Amino acid sequence: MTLDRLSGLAVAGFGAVLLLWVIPGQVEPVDYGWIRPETLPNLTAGALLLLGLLQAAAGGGVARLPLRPTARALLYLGYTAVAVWAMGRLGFVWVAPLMVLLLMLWIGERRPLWLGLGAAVVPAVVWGVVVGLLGRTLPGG
Amino acid sequence: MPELDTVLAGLGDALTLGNLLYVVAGVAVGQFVGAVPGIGPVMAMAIAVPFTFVMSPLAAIAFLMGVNKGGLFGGAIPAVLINTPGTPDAAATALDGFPLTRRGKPLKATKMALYASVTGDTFSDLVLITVSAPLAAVALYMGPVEVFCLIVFAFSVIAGLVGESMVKGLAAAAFGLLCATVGLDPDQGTPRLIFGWFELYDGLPLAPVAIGTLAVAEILRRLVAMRGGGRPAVTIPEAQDPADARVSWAEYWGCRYTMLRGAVIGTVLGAMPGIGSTAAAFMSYASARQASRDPDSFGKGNLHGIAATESANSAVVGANLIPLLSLGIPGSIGAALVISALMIQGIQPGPLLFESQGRLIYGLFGAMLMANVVNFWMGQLGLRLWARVVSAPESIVFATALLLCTVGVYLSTGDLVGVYVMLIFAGVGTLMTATGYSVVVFVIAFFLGPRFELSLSQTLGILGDDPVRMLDHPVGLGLLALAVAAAWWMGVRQRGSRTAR
Amino acid sequence: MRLATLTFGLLAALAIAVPAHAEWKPSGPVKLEIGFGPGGETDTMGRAIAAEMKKQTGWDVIAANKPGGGGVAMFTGVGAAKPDGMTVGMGVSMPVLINLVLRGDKLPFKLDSFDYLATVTRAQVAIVAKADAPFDDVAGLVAYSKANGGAPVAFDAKPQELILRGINKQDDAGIRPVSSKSSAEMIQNVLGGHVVASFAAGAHIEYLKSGDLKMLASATADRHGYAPDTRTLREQGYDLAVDPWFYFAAPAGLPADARAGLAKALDAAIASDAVRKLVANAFHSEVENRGPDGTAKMMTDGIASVKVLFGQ
Repeated sequence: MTLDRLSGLAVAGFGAVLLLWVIPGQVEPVDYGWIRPETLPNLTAGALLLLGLLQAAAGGGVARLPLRPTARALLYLGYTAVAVWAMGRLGFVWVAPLMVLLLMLWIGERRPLWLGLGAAVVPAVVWGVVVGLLGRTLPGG
Repeated sequence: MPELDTVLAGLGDALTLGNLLYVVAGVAVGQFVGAVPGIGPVMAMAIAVPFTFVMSPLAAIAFLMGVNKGGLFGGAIPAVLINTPGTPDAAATALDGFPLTRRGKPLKATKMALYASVTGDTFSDLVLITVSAPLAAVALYMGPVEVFCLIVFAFSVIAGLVGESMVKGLAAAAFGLLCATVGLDPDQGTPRLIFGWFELYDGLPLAPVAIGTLAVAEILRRLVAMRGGGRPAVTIPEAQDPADARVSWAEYWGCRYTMLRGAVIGTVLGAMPGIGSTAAAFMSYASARQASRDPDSFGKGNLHGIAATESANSAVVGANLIPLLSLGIPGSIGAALVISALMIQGIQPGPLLFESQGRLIYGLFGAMLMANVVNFWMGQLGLRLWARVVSAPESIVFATALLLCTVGVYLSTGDLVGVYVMLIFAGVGTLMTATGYSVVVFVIAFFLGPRFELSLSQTLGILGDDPVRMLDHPVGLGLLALAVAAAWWMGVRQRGSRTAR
Repeated sequence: MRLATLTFGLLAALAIAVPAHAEWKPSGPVKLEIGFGPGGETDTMGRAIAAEMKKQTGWDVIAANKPGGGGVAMFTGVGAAKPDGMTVGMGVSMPVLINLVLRGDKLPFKLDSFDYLATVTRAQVAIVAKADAPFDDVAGLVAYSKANGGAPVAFDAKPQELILRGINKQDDAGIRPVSSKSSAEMIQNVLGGHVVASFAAGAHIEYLKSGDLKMLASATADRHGYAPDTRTLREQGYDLAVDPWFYFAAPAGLPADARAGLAKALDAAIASDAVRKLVANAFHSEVENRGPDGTAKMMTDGIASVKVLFGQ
């Protein structure tokens, strides 16, 4: 079975989980009104179930899942999530320079000039504009 | 219609050096802030409003109009240069803009965006200035029933964009609609699918979802593709043919019908409160592709694609002021921000605005026209500047872009929850792209979803339990018929192009 | 230099600054959380009050947006914050009260999770119709609805819908409530003839002046200053009313001096000319601060009246 058809199964499974458990648990039942709160969620979840099964049966569309790049992209995403969490805890001023610096090092940037520009100047300019000029707050501040 | 001397006095008020400076400042702020990944035009306006508190009313309006128009073009810049659109509209521009950049023609692509943006903008401004009253009367006739039918029509036109797999395209659209149902339901006001996150009461916030799926997902892809970070993010060939760095008159003139169609679609949809620029941008794009002799070249760097979206979404902004100025009803968030700036100035928006503030309104018109000219000239400078900025190494460009998306979303939602929503949807976008489900279709459905469900509820409320009342809405029936025709025609055309291949 | 602050400062320089000699001083920046997104009228009002407080007291007051459910998301955070006087929230009473009544068990806060500090103003909610409509009051609307097989009427908040259902229950009027997202949208649909009447929260006043709309009833507890002859719903025989207040609250358990200090600072800021003008322009109403006890009473009474609306 190709990954393309597998994606159909995943979509159908998502629709089924929504229909059977998530929507009944996360939508309040109401007995009057023009359209019920659960109508559109149920319709779209049903469509996902149906379309997913169709996709699993027929296949088609661009079919590659480049596994390694996708996994690496999700790794960068996880890194960003941790950085954002830390920013909320410790403050933008401490975390943002480190976040940019480590990311640039990770990508493979080694030139001190560019590293310094990214880790020091960029966060400083952002801080200056948002806090200094606009009087708004940054994460963790 | 006000007296001629009011008109002249108002226009005269606008055309002073002081106001010109405010317009220039506004356009500069708008183009710059709008171009920062993760911020975008609406956020640029929201940030600018507090600065207007100390200005005179006309200066405040001139400044905001500058920000508005500058921000709209600014939003297209990162989309075209590094493929990180912050709004669905900009995503439509990126469809054809970014392929041009990759072929070493970033200046050509951004210039086309600028020219089409200013063209669409000027068109809708002229409509606003000359025939806003009758147009507003027509727009008033378009009630919830007509709006619902219009959205159905828009969906049927945009369906032409789902790509090679209809099943996957529909699944992406269904998922977008599903995400749009998170939050209070439009009919009963009960919270849905919020999993105890009260921050989601008003629904998944638009900006984080759009920026996550479109911009952050692209940044992640680029991070993965990087080797050593030494390459510039955008390369312009050393010995470039000058024709590849500009848009010739022949190329511009060749897009005239595309831009006219875009400007008309944008103006009509913009005059109706509540539809927004996303539908306009994609309807214009889809119809330009349909009208083209070579539809397969769209998405690969066709100038018509850029011209279609930019002319339409810029036209929406001017047209949003039609219901605002003639009826006092803001047609968009941008127009609502103009209202709040006016109120701080002690000016009461409403049906009497034209009567009581005629001179100021003509001053506003003058400022808008000035802003178009300024936007054009500053855009020429600005796009060179940005093209230079993104010729820095990719390592710093994309690391910075990631930080800016985080900060921008934090500013627009006021909360880290918004940032987490952005990250979650960046993951969703990455997976969707990897498995061939269209992210753009998802975002369009997500943006149109709330209005779709709301206008469906309103339509049922207005029609009650008597479907015969639908006969009182001939325009709505006509739109539904058009939707069926468009879907059928699209089907024929797709089958035709498939057999041709 | 914070430009926004500077601008507010200049604006308010017209006002006579009354320095509040509060004995209590916060030991750090005071975070004023606004339960709405950036850029709207409510945000503008919250920021104006924050700037005014900062100017009058010299405290570092930082306004921040926390949108979601008309203040429910924001008060969730405020209710869990430390009661040290450094966190204050601004929201609207109605959505909070409704959620307390309808799904109080699911909310992470209760009515007594907060120390109430001040009110700013209340929205002027009215029922309006097109000027040429063949009726002038709610009884006329009911008769029209009965004669025409039901009439669509627009609302943009839960309590307004409940009022319509209350009228239907009382008179068997057959009114069809039509959900909407804003006053602007409702007025557009009234003017376009898509609904026969609608609620409005201030935006209608200019249309009354222009003669495009007429007002059928005040939907609040009192008549409105700009339309003293239009009777309230109660006066028209329907025991139904909404009173959405904009109010300030801090986490419960504030030290007495902090509570008094904050209340005093808020009161002085709300009474300033800059805030008065803004409220008159943006909300079409007067500032009205009921103080800590009055605000707490407004919330307690509110629970009772919301229960009446829900027929509990």
